[in-house]
Amino acid sequence: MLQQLFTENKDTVYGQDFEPLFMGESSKFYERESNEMLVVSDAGSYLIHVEKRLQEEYERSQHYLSPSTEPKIRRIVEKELIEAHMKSVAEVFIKFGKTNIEDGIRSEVYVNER
Amino acid sequence: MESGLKYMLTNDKIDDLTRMFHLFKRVDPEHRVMTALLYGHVHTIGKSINSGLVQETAKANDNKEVPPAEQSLQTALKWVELVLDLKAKYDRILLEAFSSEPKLKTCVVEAFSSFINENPKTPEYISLFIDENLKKGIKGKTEQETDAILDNATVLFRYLRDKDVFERYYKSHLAKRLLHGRSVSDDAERGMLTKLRLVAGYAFTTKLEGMFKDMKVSKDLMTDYKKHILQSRTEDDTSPELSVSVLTSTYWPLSTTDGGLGTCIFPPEIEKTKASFTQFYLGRHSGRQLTWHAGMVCADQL
Repeated sequence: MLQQLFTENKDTVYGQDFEPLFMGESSKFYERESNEMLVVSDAGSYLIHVEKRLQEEYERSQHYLSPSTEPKIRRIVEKELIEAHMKSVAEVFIKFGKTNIEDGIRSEVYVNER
Repeated sequence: MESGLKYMLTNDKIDDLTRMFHLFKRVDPEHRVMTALLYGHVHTIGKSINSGLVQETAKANDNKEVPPAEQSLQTALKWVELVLDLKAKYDRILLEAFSSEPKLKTCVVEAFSSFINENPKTPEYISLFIDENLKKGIKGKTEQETDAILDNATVLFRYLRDKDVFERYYKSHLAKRLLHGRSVSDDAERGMLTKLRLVAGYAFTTKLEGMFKDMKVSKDLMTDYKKHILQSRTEDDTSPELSVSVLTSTYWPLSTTDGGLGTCIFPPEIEKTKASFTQFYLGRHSGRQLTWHAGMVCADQL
């Protein structure tokens, strides 16, 4: 019976009612989550979180959803958590601190030796 | 407090960089966001290496105890050291964090190439670095160590766009090493030449190789000349012993206009020895012209 639910047929309850709703809610959730996180977290831990979310959605889709949902939900996480914020993650907090040039070179160059 | 790409690069956060690389790749397979930032960052660091040293020189100028030649040598060596450290650092990041991704690799190469070529002193710095290491630096170093140092120099040479300027400096440094016998090892010299040839092509090193050939021919010539002198020498002959390097003028960075042609008056004993050599030389190779570079002469009093 569950197998029937999971067919790709658009006429099923799964394809017609559940999936679109699930996608929409997921999008909204991740959009809100990412905006909140970027305020409080640094780039490194934000990326760890994204990795975790991708893994969670993958497992969820394997256990509870149709295999055909997996690429779709993955796309949503990628879009909301990565694509929408790539620039700000890569540039996080640059505006706050310009380290002085001397220190900059030194730490840049000698960090390996420490 | 920064925590973005710059911070990760500066502090060698390999794990964070790896994560960013793989996550971004999902939505940006061309790595546009990362290359733009990476290029800007490396370029900025490079420019501060360029300009940081300018400041250092200006400061050191107040300190009269350091002779200017020594000082510019120190500046050159410091610059090379900093750039090589930076290169090693980014080689490691590219390999460990960015899976040697070609786009990011190219981006780093371009950033290096651009700041290195923005500094007009780079060709001189690189040649001085090689000079220093072929002159005395390699004493006590193994062949492999020397080779590694020279390989590093080649890495920087590869980035140079204006290789002719480098050649000018290299030629004059090489000339001094050869003529003053200050080159530590002939093998190392030739090894370096081979490396340069591999990067810049055969035409680039032809003249440099000509200089080595001149030195070898001169050495053989002097052996013959000494034999010739011994045959004609009388017991009470006190004329000075002469050692000459006969150089092809187009290969060597010696100006034929200055250097005191005719303006230098040699003592009669030396004039006699000179004449004897000229006669010997022209007897073997007629039709050649010998020009004496008085500026390069050195004499030992016994």
